[in-house]
Amino acid sequence: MGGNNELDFISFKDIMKRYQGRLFAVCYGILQNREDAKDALQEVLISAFKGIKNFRKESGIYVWLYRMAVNKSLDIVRKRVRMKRTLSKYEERRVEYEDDYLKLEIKDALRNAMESLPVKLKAAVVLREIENLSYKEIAKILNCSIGTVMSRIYNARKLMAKKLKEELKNQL
Amino acid sequence: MKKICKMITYYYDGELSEKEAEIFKAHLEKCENCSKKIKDYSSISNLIRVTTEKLDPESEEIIWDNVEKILIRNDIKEAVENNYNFLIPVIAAVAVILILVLPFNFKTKTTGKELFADEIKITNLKSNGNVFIYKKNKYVLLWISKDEV
Repeated sequence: MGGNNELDFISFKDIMKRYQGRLFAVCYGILQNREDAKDALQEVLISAFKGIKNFRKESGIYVWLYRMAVNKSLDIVRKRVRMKRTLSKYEERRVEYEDDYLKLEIKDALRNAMESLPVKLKAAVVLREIENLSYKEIAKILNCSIGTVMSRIYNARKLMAKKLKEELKNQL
Repeated sequence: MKKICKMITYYYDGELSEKEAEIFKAHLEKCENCSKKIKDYSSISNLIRVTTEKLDPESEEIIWDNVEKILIRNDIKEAVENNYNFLIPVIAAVAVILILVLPFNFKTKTTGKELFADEIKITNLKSNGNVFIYKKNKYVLLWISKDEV
């Protein structure tokens, strides 16, 4: 990157540093896999840099960025479903070997519960639980009504509660 | 399900007005099912928050390095594409002209007329094939045929 683009990149990096942690948390919440979350964040940053000139200010930068983070993560989820990446699951288990055993089991249970959710429910519940966003903000990001957000979160919690009870009963 | 029970998600997420929240709180004391659900919701929230991972400085550095490299690569690619894009129609036009003009510079044996080519070499291949080499000035034309001469 030369000239103006280099200056643009430095300013862009400064702005993104404020959001990157929260964007990573959203990606991780949806993907439940550290490496995939890093890939998703990287793609979000590249798309954001390319699209920032056309960004419409009325929607708010956080809505725009969260929307990208959700979409990139859901793309990876869809790809993962297609590829059935069981291998990465075992790799991550190995990386986390030194973690507390109980925490690892709980993480696995949560990951399984999260993976069992349909993608739309997953995005809504992550934005609520991890980012603590209001229904209005989530509705803007997911481009749906507040009623839809409520019903997605309600159904996600219902499914997760059921799945977690099954998982933790079997493992603990 | 009672109408008020359906408000549980709004209540849990703090989406009700103060007055509505008070009404729901009073309902919670009487409704065992809703109280149980609130406990489940709270466990899920804690679980998600406890197991959420943070972006560490090392990963952050790697991600930004990759982003910069990919953007530079894209910049170069775009610059190359922009600089050489005009060549595509030029090359296509030259190719069309050559296709149309070149055959008239050569005459094949089947016409029976005088050949304009400087040199012709015909080689009979073992497998029912022939190779014709036509040469005129700077041009060389190779013609491979299955037919017998």
